Amino acid sequence: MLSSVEIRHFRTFSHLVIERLGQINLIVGKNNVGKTCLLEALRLYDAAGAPHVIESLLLARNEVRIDRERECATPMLDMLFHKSPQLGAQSTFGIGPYERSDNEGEWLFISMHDIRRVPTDGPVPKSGEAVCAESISINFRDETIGIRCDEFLSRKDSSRPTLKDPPFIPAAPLSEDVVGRWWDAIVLTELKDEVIEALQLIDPSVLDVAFATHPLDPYRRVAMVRTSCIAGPFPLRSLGDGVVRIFNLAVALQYCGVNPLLGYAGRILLIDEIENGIHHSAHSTLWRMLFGLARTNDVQIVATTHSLDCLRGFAEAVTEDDENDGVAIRLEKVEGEEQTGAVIIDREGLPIVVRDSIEVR
Amino acid sequence: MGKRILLVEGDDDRHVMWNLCEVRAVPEKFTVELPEEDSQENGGLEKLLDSIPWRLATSDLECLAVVVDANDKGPRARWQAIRSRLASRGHEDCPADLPQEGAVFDISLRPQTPRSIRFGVWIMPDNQSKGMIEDFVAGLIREDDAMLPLVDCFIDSIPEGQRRFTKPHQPKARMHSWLAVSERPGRPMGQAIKADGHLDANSPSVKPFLDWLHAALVK
Repeated sequence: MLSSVEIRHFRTFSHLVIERLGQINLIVGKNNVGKTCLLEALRLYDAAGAPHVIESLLLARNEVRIDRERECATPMLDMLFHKSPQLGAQSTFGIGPYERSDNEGEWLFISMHDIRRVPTDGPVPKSGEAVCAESISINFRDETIGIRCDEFLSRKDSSRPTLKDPPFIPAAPLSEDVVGRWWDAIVLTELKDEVIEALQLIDPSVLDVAFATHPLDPYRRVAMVRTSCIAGPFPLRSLGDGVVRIFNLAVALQYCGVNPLLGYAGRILLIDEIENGIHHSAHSTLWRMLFGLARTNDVQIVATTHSLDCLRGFAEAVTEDDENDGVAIRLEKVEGEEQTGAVIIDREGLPIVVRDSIEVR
Repeated sequence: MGKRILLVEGDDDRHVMWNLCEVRAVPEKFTVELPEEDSQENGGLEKLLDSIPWRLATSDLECLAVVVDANDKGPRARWQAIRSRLASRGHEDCPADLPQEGAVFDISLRPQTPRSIRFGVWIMPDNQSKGMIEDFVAGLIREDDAMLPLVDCFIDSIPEGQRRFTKPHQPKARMHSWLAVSERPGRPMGQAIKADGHLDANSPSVKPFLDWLHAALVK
């Protein structure tokens, strides 16, 4: 489990220190402050900088450009590096535990080499655009690997997920193929039964879930559900976004727990905008479930939210059980300062914040 | 501009602040906030003190000022209580002694975030005496007020054994007895300050408090 994290020169972060992380961490803060960037950094760190994770971070943000010289698409690797107006792109970023920067082996460093401006013909690019890296090097635990920029999208296995990838639940709906792969790891075990129990917290009529072949596309799978209300199975998605979200969260948590290969920093589940699809009255129930499953599976969760109900539900779950190690963290930009702030409200503060309606988002 | 918050113990105190600021034309640059209602009754002051380090975590907070009663323990004890609450969360910026003119200083939020909060403390009535906000408001009663000597006589005349209020609450009993015999009996302190009558919001005794308020929240 990561007990703290420090990030240097990654995307929007010139410097970020989170002094303390708990088992479940709820990240709040204004738009554009770097909540999703933090999840990306942790995802990259937990995957030891695996190239296919780098690629998937870039593709998720459409950060691909056409290289006119080579006449091929290349990932915009420079987008991962923090830019300061004076210096241009930083050529190295680092992610690791706070106050352990002397112990460089525990840090992940990624560097860009041979930066050059691309177009030899055509208009002069605006600053920050059209910077192409010949290669990047990835350094973790005293091992360094180098990858050429043009190898990224052409590597046949590059986008293939591996068992070491930390499960990531994006703000947007998750593909059922991805959830289906996680499901395969827990089906026919008691862990599956716990997923059904989690669903029943939200919809007591749920009896069972299975994945079936999509009726129109034999290469796709669909989550189907059986309930006590309607005869015959029907798509889980018919029960609404909230049920699908809870299903995805519960399956991902169980998958984390069952997979011994996961993660260099431990088992981490990353969730963007966790409140999506969840009714405000269901947040406490959701957090109770997440704390329970996270503890039994020894999984660390880092989730983001904009929702006050979500934060309150989180604080309630932390307050009602001493074993629930939850920390709320507000990221904030401070005018004129390079460092992004990370204000921590731990289990001592959360009950007070809720009781006195202190606005910490 | 960030948020500027004045934290007080209860609703009566809030109305005193609102009305005093209105009468004295203090710029409306801050909000007056209370602990949650349930906690005002029972152990309210302790809960308010416990909340101070977490109030500092309010998003966009620029200034936080706290007005609390000294009560029978006196301002020194109250000041130490605030200092220790802050120190327990790693804030060591608090001066050792409470200045007579009220405290105003910066609390650094580093290393968590690269900024500071301007923090102010005023301990009622005057940072030096035991007592409470009622003593402060009693200080606004005009010198020639005819009722106050009668109210004092009345309070003194209650035999020890029959007093329903404790000794530390005597200023409260005195102030509310005085309010009970005004033109509008039962009018709360805040309204009485604004009513053009026997409380003088321009009394010199208010100046140190307004100076502190200005330094802590307005400037």
